[in-house]
Amino acid sequence: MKETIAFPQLVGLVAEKANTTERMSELFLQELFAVVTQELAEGKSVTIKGLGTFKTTKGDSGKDVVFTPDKDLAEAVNAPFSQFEPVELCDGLTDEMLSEIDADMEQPKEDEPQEADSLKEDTIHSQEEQSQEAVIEQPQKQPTEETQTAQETIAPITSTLAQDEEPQDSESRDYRKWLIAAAAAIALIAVWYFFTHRSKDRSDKAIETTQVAKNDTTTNETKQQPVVTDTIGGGNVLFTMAKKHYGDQAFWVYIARENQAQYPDYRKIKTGSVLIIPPAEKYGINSDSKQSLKNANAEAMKLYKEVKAAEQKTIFQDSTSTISSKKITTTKQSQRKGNSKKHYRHYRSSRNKYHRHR
Amino acid sequence: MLHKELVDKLSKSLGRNKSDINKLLEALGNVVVERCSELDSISVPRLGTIEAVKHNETIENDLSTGKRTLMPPRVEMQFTTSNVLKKRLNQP
Repeated sequence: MKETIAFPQLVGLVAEKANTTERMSELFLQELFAVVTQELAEGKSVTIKGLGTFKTTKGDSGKDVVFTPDKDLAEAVNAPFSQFEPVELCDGLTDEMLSEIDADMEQPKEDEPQEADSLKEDTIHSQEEQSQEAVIEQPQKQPTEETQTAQETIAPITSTLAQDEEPQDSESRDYRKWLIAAAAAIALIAVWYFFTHRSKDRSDKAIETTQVAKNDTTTNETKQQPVVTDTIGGGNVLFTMAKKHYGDQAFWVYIARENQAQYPDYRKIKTGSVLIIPPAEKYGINSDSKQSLKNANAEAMKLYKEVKAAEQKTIFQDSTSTISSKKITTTKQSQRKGNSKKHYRHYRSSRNKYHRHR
Repeated sequence: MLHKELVDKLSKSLGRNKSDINKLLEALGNVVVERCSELDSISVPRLGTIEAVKHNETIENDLSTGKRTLMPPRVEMQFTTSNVLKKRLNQP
């Protein structure tokens, strides 16, 4: 790490990669860099595929070369950090708390074994930790023995994070520091959420995933039945829910099926509706299985036909009621006509009587 | 100079076909990716040094909203021009 590769070493590496002789590699590199230097000296830019673009610019201190890396190169060197995204820190996370984490990270651990560190190892640890963080975000599906609170859920995970710490050099410690800060932020959000939104109506929220555990505190043996829910709205539709909870949008049909009693037509579920997300085991959902995806598509077609048939039935009923109402109208009109005839006859007879008198 | 033009020029000057030149350029690209992923630097005489610099995570403050965002670490590719080339660029 942080080694400088000199030209002879580069020649050897390129020869090895290209499966050619070192002489050929040396000639090629000499010629390549001579051309690049010549072009830059003439004020031109040079683009090398897979490497980037060298361009001359004029600054305060005279002309200089600016290198813009190729997109693939930039992505490849940033691959260990590709899974991270900017995280907005919550208000509760103060600078003091962050500095405490910093201090904690900088203290060397005596009982940890000393071993060589590398960026790859760092990446592996970060992935493990991230998966643990994901546990915090996702509702826990496995039943536990004791009554859970949000704090209790977070506490063992954070303690696991502390236990899992490996000896790191300064860079990996920085890296870990970032992860710990992110975990702390998520933990605080979870605690805040638990205490503030516990009694609120769920329909107020755009997107939320909650865990409702049916606890029996009298015995430890009683197992929890977690019910996962999600709310329609804010871009959160059946497809996105399925992708979020099951890993593939094709499984939306099972969410629609689970909530069919409450929402018979999945196309007319309104924003703010809270849907129950069934456990994957209930419908044999497996995003890695082609058969499972096939079954989901078949189920979707079946559901569509059912909903369509129900819709047709409703339309027919509506039209029948319209026809019957028309009949009623016709009868009334005929009654009115009959009455008019009666009146006419009455008037006519009266008029005839009058004429006879005249 | 575009990649294609560079390949043509190298092909002519070295007397090798374009596929060989492309293969060598691809190998060079792979070597740079491999070594820069390890945060190594590659020094090229008379041209400069290509190096990968790691920037640690930072907390950015949005002064307008007061929100703080934790930015992840990143690796930036940097090029330092050699003195020889700098002199050549700036000669009158």
